[in-house]
Amino acid sequence: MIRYDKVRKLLKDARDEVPFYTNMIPEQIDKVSDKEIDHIFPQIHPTDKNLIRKDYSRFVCNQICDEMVKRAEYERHIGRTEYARIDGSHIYFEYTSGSSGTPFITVKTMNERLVLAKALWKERNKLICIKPNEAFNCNDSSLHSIEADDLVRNGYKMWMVNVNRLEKFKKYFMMNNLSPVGLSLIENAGSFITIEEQLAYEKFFNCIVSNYYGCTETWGIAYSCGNKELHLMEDTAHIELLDENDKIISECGRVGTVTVTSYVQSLMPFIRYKTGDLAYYIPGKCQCGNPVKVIRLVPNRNMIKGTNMYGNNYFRNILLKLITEYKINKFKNISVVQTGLLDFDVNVIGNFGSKSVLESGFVKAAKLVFERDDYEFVFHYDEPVVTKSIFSLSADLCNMEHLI
Amino acid sequence: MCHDFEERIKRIIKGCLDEVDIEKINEETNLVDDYNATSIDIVQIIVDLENEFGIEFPEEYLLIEKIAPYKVLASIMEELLLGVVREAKDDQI
Repeated sequence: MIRYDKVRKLLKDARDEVPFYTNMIPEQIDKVSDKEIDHIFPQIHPTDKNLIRKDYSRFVCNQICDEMVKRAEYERHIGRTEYARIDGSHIYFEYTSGSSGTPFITVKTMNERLVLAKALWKERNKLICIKPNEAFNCNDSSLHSIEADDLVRNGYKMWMVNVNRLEKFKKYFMMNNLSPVGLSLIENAGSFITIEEQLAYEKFFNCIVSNYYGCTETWGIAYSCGNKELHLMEDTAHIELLDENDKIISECGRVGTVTVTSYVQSLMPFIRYKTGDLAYYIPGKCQCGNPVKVIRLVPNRNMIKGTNMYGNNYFRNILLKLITEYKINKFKNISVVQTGLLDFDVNVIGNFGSKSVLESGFVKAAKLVFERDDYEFVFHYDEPVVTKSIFSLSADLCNMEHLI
Repeated sequence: MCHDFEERIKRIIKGCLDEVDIEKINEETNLVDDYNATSIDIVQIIVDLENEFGIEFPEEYLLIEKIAPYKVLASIMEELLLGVVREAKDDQI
């Protein structure tokens, strides 16, 4: 749901201060009606990383001069820190991860960070009462070697960690027969995690595992509830799913690019910013009682080794064939991990039909979709955790046709 | 402002910023300038104050200039608490 007052203020500030938006947004935007916002907002040109990198100075407000950015870069260079603060001005420069290319600098004031951080803690506290100083950021890139036994010793109540690192901790804990003391919440941040993976880690670490989906540019986009569903964080951002023609997707099940507008940031506004991540809406109301829309992310960024193909695109089509053409649909979830150039592990969760029918159907569909028959698939059933999935999708979607 | 109310605020500040000496917190204290409080420290203080007093900081108050100076923070807390009391009274009516 769009917050009209926040959008009006954001667009007004962007129009007045940020060159890219000066001619794009009407002058009297702060005085227009809600209905006019509904008309104007979807016409604002979406942005993305490439556009910003190419024309950076047009995306920051006039008071952020080149000299400030250069100084931030220098401080980062000598300090090797994630962000740099310009003395006295409470302006923070944070670098994007660069996972899809060269990182760029995002700009936030301390006040903006306060509002964004507070929104995030509100979400965490819906699950469990945790305070910022009880959390440990295992993703901090300045910590090159986090020892799992340090985590045990220090007794943090919350870990912020990505799945890859968490899997390493799990192995270490298993090998050394350790268990974390006082740990209440593990928050996955910065990596794709399925609901099944969350449940499996919950069982292993005996604590709540939550999923925080956001980006350096805008911070929180969605946060998981007690039922592990990702609810949009609508207090601080307006989130849309856009199709390949930048048209808004409103129906459930249809995959689109997550596009975020941060209500909070004015020095470097992100308005209709395409994150590059794919997601779809889940139909119906979440059983947790929160009426805010739920999205499910699609791990689109993993390529099949030895090719330039995104695994998700291909395995989505294989699943579609399985369900719609071969009528094989007696399972809850399938995820795929590539174990070698030509080898894949297929993990099936909640299968209640014939295994041989499912396996032969999957292999047949894969041959047709990939147009090659040298890929080998090894099937596993109800494996507790599969990391680095190149594809994962539930079979309970209401309308599979939308996935085409 | 009542003494107990201020003591509770100061205790929370001390709980979030180790080097703070409760006795030295006064109307001139600025949490950022005097104790190098980071945005995480400030969020911690806000979350703790909300839990302690059963209030919620409105977004327009989430400004460093309203939270870092102790004098301003205490007066905002008083205002928010009065609002809570007023709401409770309205509910009773």
